[in-house]
Amino acid sequence: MNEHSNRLPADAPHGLGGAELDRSTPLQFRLNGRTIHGFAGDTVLSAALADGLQIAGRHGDEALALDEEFAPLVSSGKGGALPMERTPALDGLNFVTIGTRRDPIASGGLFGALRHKLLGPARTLNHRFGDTSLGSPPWHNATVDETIETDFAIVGGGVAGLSAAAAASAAGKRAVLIERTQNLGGTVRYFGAVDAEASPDTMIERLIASLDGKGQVTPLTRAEAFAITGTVLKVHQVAVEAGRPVSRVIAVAARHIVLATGALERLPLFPGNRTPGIVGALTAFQRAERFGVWPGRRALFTTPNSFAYRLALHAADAGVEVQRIVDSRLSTTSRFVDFAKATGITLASALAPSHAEPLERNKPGLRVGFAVAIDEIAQDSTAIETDQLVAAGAWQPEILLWLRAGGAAAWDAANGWLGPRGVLPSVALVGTAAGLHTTAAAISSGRAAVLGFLGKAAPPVVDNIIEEAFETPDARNPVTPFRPAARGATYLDRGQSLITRHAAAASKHGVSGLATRAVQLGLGDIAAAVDIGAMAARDAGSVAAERCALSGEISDTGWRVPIRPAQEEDVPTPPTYLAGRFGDKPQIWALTAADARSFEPGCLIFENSGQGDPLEAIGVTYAPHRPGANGGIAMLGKVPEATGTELYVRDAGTAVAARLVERLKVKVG
Amino acid sequence: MPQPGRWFADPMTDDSYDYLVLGSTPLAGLLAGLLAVEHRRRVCLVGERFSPFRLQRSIDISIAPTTRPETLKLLKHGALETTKLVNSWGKGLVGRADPLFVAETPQSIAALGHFRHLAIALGYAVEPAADRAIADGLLLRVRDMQLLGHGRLEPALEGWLAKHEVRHLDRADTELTLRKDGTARIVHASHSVEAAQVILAGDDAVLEYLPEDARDRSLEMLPGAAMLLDSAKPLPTPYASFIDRGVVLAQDGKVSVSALLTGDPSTARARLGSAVSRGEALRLAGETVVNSFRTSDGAPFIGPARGHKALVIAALGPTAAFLAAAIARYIAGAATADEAAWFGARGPTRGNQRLLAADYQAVPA
Repeated sequence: MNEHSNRLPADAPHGLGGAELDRSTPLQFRLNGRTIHGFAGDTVLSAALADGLQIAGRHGDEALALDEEFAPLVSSGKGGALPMERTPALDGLNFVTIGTRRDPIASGGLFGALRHKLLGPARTLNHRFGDTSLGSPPWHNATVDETIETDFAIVGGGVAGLSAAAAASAAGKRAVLIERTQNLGGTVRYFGAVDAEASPDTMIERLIASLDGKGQVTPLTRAEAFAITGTVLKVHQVAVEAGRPVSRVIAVAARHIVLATGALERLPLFPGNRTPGIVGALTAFQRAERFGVWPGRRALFTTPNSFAYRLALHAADAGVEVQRIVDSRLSTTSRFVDFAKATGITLASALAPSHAEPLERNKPGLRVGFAVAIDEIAQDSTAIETDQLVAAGAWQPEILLWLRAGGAAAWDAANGWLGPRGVLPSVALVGTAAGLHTTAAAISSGRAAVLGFLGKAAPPVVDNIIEEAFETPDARNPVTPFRPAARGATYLDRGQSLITRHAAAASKHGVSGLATRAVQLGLGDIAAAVDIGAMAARDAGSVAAERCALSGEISDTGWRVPIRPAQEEDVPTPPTYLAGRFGDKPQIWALTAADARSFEPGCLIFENSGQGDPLEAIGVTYAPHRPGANGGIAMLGKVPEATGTELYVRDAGTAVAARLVERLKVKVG
Repeated sequence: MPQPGRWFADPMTDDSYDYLVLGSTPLAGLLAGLLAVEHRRRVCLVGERFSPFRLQRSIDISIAPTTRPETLKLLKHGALETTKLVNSWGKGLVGRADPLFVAETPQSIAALGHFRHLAIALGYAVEPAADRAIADGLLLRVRDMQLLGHGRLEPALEGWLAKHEVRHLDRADTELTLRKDGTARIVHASHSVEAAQVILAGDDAVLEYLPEDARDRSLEMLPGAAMLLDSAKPLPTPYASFIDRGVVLAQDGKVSVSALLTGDPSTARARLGSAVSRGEALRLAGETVVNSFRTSDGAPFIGPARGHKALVIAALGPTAAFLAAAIARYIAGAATADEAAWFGARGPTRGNQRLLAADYQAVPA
């Protein structure tokens, strides 16, 4: 089998051949003992995907797709745990994935080779995902390797972030631009240009060129901001040192922070929605555009918006057999739809995936059913076999850092997403993260945020959405009507929470599931929970603030209770909680025990041995006697006759005879 | 001060309430329901609707390390009442727990020691524990206590309120005008209705609705947090209260841990970490701010606001829900003599009656 059969040709049209690859420089590395072939420019994940690895592991009976949002961490020995999707593939390295793995007995050596020959190459990383959360990456608790001081920290290297960085540079300010991938530009190429707009490539080129202004812009690529305190960001970066990828944590201390974190594409909800072979439309585009990765040669598309049509058209041009584009909207007006019709691609409307399942265990390919995408109607169409289901979803502004900065959020019913609310003094959201829809608005919002922080006027941000007559608006995230008998779990999101629709629905009634499981929720989980009615829309913002906005582990850091030394006093003062307990003018006495024991503080004192009701007590011991003497010091309300009077001290339920020895003088508060 | 039992609506006015109960904790729900069911009052409850996805803001248990025997007596009776009531709604709503109380400073050790003797005298099964893996100091375990089952309790409480036609309005959809004479106007869905007496049932309601200058001088706001955590393995004890660290941990199931923290937010995670079994780690899955009240003398506060006739119920701590029946009787003018004396000593700072109610409270570092 050709190890590069999951790649499009280098010269694939529309830039789908992998712009980040240098195909003249092949490389290979080992992952869990398996040799992976790739090219310079690949990440560990892209090379693994291109080499046929499609499965991260199993969650119960479900095989879960290996995905940019769901991939185990890897280690190459030194350098610590690294994210597969941000770690460059380097020749000759030996990676292992971190986590609970159950590899088959015959995975290596001669048996491994035989297994490979008989069954084909392994498609899975063999992880086992339980019902406990996967935990946060180790760098969330790691110490900072470097601190960078700057005027602006800008998170996100898409057009909004580039525009903000360019504005900062033009104003003579220093900026640090933090980008998760290896290159700047973001996702604008997926969306394309509208009307008279310049092409995405031209836009990106212009913006990158304008970074070279009066100020200095420092890009940090393969870097992810994961924490924010005030105006200090914590950033994790995968760097390459001495030919090895290493993990670095950088603190970026800025005067202002601009969050241009973009939007997430949500997971459509249907049984089997994380079956290997299912990929989000934006992810599918980025895999192809950056690395030329496209598993299989047939693809089905399903979408609630028009952008996936564009990808389908481009994929068809690149030689992919587009079996069908299935739109959850009833009737669709869009230039992309017209192009698709003209190309002869089969189109269907008002349908959404009803289920997906693998064709065969350990073999590529899946079977996808569709159902009428109208509430309460569950009419299935014939299932279709395919190599890949490109399942576009609705959008969700990526506002995690905003929440972590203390920003608020609320459900936006008009857009069907969890949107940011309010303002923060030194943190601004721009672009699609701010809920904007258009590229032009994203660019102008980045600039406006920086100018706003500098006290300068900026042109208003205008988000001109194409009129409905020309472009049918996006539909809500596809949700298949719930069927108890459906095979395959319906996950709420692609992330690590692994919350299923069933668990979320059960939470409504206080039965385990999403409510009581101690997992950190993703924004997609919350949006999906609202969509399926498991969460009230009014709670979405509060839940996000509570359950998305943090990370890390709690462990013993050596903190101990500071002990306040007792005051040196001849006669200890009674504690304040005994004030008034035994009358207005209690007396303090030293007493001795008949059996020579020392009474611990707090024993009740009674006149008779048969008494035990605390409300009948006439006093209480509250301090030990002087060293060498037994008994203790007591506060007494009902004043005894004299020294030598016998009383009874209840020590853990036992009445012990005691005698008054000496009345002591102390100021009773 | 308003007199207990006299807070009634004008019987001639239709569509009005005797009481407007404000609050989102189990205490508020129980109090509203008890006033309606047991005392035949017209009650409107306004608070946050329960959401299973939000964090647990209270851990309601039937015992606290009080140093006042009358409080412990009240609590013992109240625990039986609340448990019986809640158990009548369904199974699994009240759990059995053996809470562990941990005192580490000499002052707290002395107070917890006194609690031990009081509790034993009142028939509680209290035993010292010795587990240096948990903490040094005095560790006391109280057997067979009741713990309200968060997540399961609230839907059942809602059902009980609905069954008895207690109006429960979402505070987000409700506009309130609280007047100084203790009355209120409630506007919901464009419909306006009057309430004769406002009851701020719990710290959350006092923090939200009562301006600082209307709070009794004995009340002091205490910063705090609620956290949801994932534990790789069960905690050594399913409920532990670290008195001097301001940390309460409760484990529901095998891996999910709820934590309530009081005290300085800057040390909250360190204090929580110190309370985790040494060598173990908890993964944070949720966090929110939950402020509360303490009083200058450590006693709860039940009485009118300053310059305001709204009834304030604050600083009751984790046992609040188990005092709901007694509080309802007090408000409805049906308290026993002992209960009336207990509440009478825990009113405003005017006069010196609170001196007789002082209780121990640790000051978390």
